[in-house]
This record gives sequence, structure tokens and C-alpha cells, in this order.
Amino acid sequence: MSYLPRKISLSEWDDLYSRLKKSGFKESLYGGKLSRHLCNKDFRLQNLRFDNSAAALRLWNFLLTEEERLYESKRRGKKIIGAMKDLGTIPVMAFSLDNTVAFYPDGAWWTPCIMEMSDGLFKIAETLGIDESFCPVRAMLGAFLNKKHFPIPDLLICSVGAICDDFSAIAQRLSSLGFDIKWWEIPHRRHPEFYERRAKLPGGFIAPKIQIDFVKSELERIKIEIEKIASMKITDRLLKAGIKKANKVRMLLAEIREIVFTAERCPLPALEEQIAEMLAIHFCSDLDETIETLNDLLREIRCRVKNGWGFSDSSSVRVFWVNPVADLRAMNLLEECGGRLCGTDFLFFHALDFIPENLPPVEALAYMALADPMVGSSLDRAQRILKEIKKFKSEAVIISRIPGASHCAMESDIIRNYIKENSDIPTAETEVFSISDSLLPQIRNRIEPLIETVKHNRE
Amino acid sequence: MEKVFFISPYIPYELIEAAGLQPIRILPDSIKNRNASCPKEGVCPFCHLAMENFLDDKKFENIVLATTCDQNRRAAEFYFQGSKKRIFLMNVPSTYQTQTSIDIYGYELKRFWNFLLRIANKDVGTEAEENISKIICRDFKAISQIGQETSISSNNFFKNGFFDFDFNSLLKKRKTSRIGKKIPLALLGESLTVQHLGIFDFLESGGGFVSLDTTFSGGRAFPTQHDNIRSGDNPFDFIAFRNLNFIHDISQRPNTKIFDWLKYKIQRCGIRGIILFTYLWCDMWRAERLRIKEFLDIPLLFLDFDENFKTDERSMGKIMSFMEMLR
Repeated sequence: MSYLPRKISLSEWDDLYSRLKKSGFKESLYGGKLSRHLCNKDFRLQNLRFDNSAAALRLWNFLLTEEERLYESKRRGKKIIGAMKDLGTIPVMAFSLDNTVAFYPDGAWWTPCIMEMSDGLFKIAETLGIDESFCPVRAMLGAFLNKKHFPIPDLLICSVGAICDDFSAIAQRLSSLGFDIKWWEIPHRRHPEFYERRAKLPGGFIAPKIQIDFVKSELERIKIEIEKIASMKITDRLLKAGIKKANKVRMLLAEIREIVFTAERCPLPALEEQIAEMLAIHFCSDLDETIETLNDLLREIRCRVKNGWGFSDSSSVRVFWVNPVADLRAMNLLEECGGRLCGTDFLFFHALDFIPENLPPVEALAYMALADPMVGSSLDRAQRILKEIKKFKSEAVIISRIPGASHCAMESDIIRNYIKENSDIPTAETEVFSISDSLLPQIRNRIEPLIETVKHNRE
Repeated sequence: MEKVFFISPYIPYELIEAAGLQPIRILPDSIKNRNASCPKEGVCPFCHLAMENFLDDKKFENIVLATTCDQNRRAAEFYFQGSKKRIFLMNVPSTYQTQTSIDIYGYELKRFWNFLLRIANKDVGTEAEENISKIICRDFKAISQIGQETSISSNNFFKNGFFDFDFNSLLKKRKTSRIGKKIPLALLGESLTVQHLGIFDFLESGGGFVSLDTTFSGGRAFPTQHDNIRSGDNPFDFIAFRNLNFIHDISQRPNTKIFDWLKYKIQRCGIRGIILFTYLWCDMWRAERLRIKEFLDIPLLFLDFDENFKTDERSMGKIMSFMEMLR
């Protein structure tokens, strides 16, 4: 059942939900009123504006019930793998087996936002010396200690090397508290020397083939760790099937992105677009359900486009957004300021690109891991962003800095300079804290002039 | 002779010298003309100062950086942008326990060697490679001795030639006298800048002395007890193994090695107090402050360093109170 697309509040969703139920709306086991999540102290929902489709409701309910799903998996005897930092690689391996489930404890970085700081995670991190000079991912440390947000994984795997210092430092702090972490090295991706064999990675980056070999041998080591905990071999056949399934998610997201970013009227709000993309990282702990949820969403936006329905009009400015926002409210703000999302780089391009299916499977994952925008240079990343800008005809770029993040201090300048030198697209930079209410006017003051500049240039 | 400048101890001077170039390790210093294009917000003061130095001074033609911290890695990108300088970014793994880590680093050393030979305009040849082993052998004794020393500080290193790798001169000129009833202290943290070298005199004027300098500009820059290279050893593999296993850094994962080493050194030197300095935005050290305090279990003073120690009255006040307490 489709309604004219509209952004609605949480209480409006309750009314709509009642009407949907009366009309025979069927939903999955984790379905229900969105407002029921307030019982879990997900207070931020009261300050967000949501897509009014049943598909979006399913998306939100799927996202907000992950914790229950993880506990249920544990109860059923499945092994829980806590993958850290690589954003997309290890879960493909873990979900290739029936008895393992992977998730990213890193995801706790949104908990202070969702729970409007009622979680106290930052305070716990601070007692361990991890203060506000660290990025919001410090919430993960608190979540491990208070054990209230996810089950403690049976196996913890963390990529290190060319990652951000915040994460590396926080993961080390976790390790020193007695959590056994299996570290694996991801080298800094660089351009090949003239005498080296080259490898083209998913998404187009180029790396020396020798780096693929290094990453492959690290992933082989990690595969053995997963096999030990699962008491099962991850055979090539299983892993290939796992990659195929992960690619199904990526294919759905590619289609959603294509439609959302290119449709005349935007069929999905920025907030739900971001949530949908996030599913690519670890499938919200259920790969099959991710595919179903995205299928639903795709059907909805296709229907909207077919009917000429959407959230934007022709005056809306097409914005490319760089980096995930610590406060989801910022995505609503983009539209309130007259923008629409036309391109994203939420730091996990590599979780959206297709994993090669014509290679030995562990090698294919090595290709993917090295394609991570974070492990290469910001200049590489800027080039990819510009390519996407051209593809989706974005008119402006917003770079949202993550407070305290070691990479943000320099990458923003590098990306902005590159875009400035190679296009006439205006850029703006803003910083989004976990709860940005008091700073919303400031963020608005960054976005609005950018929107106005584009509108002025159009004239 | 062309000079090659670097900051990290993970860049082996032996390769630079064997290629016929002059290795110079630098401590960042303050400069007159601040570079407006250098990002400052959110950047650690040490890294920022290094960036300004490298961008400002024409003498820094050949620069080598290591990936041991995210900010350094990204600073390298700044130099790469439109710069005519020759820049090499060396990937130094965070892990050290696996053969893959050693292989990654060993391969980087070979790549670095090729870079150096291009600067020196030399062909790849076994003779030049043999030179690396000869230099390792030549300096083994001096480095072992310096590694065991407790009285050589960043200050001595800086003033007496360590940063130009004149080990013999350094060993001759080192400060050997223990200072009466002064309190033995350990200095702990990342590398100092030239601006911060005043801390040694300041601590002495306050009744203490740095008996153990475990900064990266001090004794920690040396590989601790290790074997000498043997005939037939591949010098790249040797250095990769030696540096990853015997230069201890907070950025290694896991970083238990540096903790064990610190405990051993502190007990051996009879240290009564530790000065732990961290630069704002230096996540690696800042994250470990409380753990260090708990692990080492002796009086410890945290200092936040900005770019200029001399004008940092707050830090100086804290040091004086700490010294009072230790007395």
C-alpha cells in the first residue's frame, strides 16, 4: 500500500500505523509501532522526521531491533563475531556460515545520538581516559563495559594499520581491559611503483598487486579464527555463496542509489537513504532480512517515481554528502534547508561496490578491503567523489566533520581543494556532534548559503 | 651529498647512508612565517609543526614519513599535493607478530631503497646492498651501548649529533654525571620538538633530572637488545624484524611490548616520578594515560603540550608542584 510521500513525525507515524493495521497491513516479526522504541530510550526518534511508507517503517524497525536479534542468535547457539573497523569485509566471511553472525560494535557510535545521551556511554569512556578529543566511536568502549547494547562477541576481530587513530586507540584500550582482539593488518593503499604489478580494485582505485597478496594472507589468518570459533570450515564454495549474497545487497543498494540520486523528484528522504546504505556493512545482523527490507524499499521508490511522487521539487539543490553524521537529525536538516541527497560517501564505498566473483574468494575480499576509502589517500577519495558527483550531477558538496576524528582534520581540506580545482561545484564544511541541537543554527548557517549559492548560479 | 630528512625511528638511516646520501632525523622547530594553508584545527601540534617546517624550508628536498599515525599519513598527502619535493611515505605495520607484518615492512624497505637509489642516481646492485649490512655491523656496538644508556636524553641527542647519526661523537659527549640528590625522573611520550627541549633544564632547576628519556626523540628510538646481522642475512628482512620487534611504540597492536619495556626500564633506573606528555589530538598516547598510570604504579604527571613549551606557564606550574610532592 502506498501513500503520497510525506515526512512525518513519530506521533504521526503512530496514527498512520493504526490506519495501516486496520487495512490489513502485514509486517515482519520485528514490526510494530515506531514509538515503541521509546521504551528502549531511543528518544532521538521524537526529533526526527520520517518517510511515511511501510517500507521505511520496516527499515527503521529492522535497524532498531538489531540488539534483540543478536541476543536471540546467541540464545540459539550461534557464535557472535564482533568485526571492528573494516566496515564490510569480515561480515561477508562470517555470514558465509550458518552458525555465525557478525556485527560492528563500532555502530555504538550512534547510540548516544539515538538515546539522546541517556545511555551514559561517553561518561564511561571518559572514566577510562577517552574524552571528547576522541571521535564518538568512543561510545563503543562504554557499550562493552556496561553490556547493555549488544552481547559480548565470542570473537573480536579488528583491522589495524591504515585506519583512524581514534579507533585504533580505543580498540587497544578495549584490549587492555581484557577483551581478546584478533588484529589484522590493512596496509596504507598507495599507487603502484612503475616496476610493480597493478591491481584494479572495485570502485576503480589502483593498488600494487603485492598489497592484495598481503591482505589476502591476513584474511586467511582471520578465516581460520572464525572457523575455530564456528567449528566449521569456510570452504571456497561457502565463501563464494556468501559473496554472491553480499553482492545481492550491493546490487539492490546500487539500484536504490541510482533511482534516489537521479529521479526528478527524490523518492526517499536523506535520512532513510543513509540508514539503507548502512545495511551494507553487516546486514544489520541478518543478511536475508536485509535483502527483503531493501527489496521493499526498492519497490516503494520505483512506485513513487512511476507516479511522479517525491520529497523534492525542481528547486531542490542536489547535494553530495561526505562522511556519516553523528546526529541523524542533520540529514533531516539538509532537506529543511532546500537540499536533496544526490550522492554519498559515508566512508564505506567499498561496502557498496561489487565484490569480484571471478576470483578465488579470499582474494576477492582482499580486493574489497583495500578499496576502503579510509585506507588510501584523501586525494584518491576526492577523485572518486568527483567521479560520483559527475555521475549523479550533484550541484554542491557538504563535508561533515566527525568531532575528534583524526582523519577529518586534514581530509576535508584535501577533498575541498581537489573539488575546487577540478570543478565549479561549491563546497561547505560543517561539524556534526552526536546531539547537535544547540548547534543546529550553526549547521544551518553552513548549509543554507551553499544552497543559495547554487540557486543563484542556476539563475 | 644530498640530504634525506625524516622524523620516525622506523625509517632506517642505514639505508640512506648506504645509498650514498646523508640521513638527517629532525625535530620540528617553530618557524617565523606560519603557513596559512596548513590545517591546524584538530591537528596535533607536533604534526602541525613538522608540516610547517617541511613546507617552509627549501632545504627539505627529500622527505620520508611513516604511517605510524593517521595524522602523519595524511600530512604526507599535503606534501604530495603540487609539491616538487621528493616525498616517500613508508607503510609501517601496526602489528608485528606475524610473518605478513614483517613481509609488509621488509617490502617497504626495499621500495624505499629503490627510491633512495633514484635520488642518488645509482643502479640497483649487490655492492650497495652489502653496504647496508656493513653499516648495521659498524654501528651495532654503539647502538647497543646507547640503547643501554640511561643518561642520554633527547637534549643530548639533539645537541650532540644523534640526529646526524654521529654516534661516536654522541657517546663521547654524553652526560655521565649523576646529579647529587636530585630526583630521578622518566620522561615519556612521543617525540619532543625543539621548543620542548627546555624541559630538561627546567626539571633540573626544580630538583629533578631526567634519568630515563623514553620519548621517540630519546632512548626509545633505538632498537633494544637484539642480535647483530649475520653474514648472508638479507638486510631488509633483518631491519624489518629488528625494528618491529625491538623499537617499541604505543601505536603497535597490541602495544603490550612498550608497557613491559617501560616497567623494566623504570625499575632498573630507580625512577621516582614520570612526566608523561601528550600533544592535543594525539590519540595514541592520550588514550593510554590512565593505563600507564595504573600499570607503572609510581607518581605520574600528565602534561598537555602545545607547540611552545617555553610559554606554557600552566605546565611549568604543574611540574613545580609535582617536584614538590616528590621531595
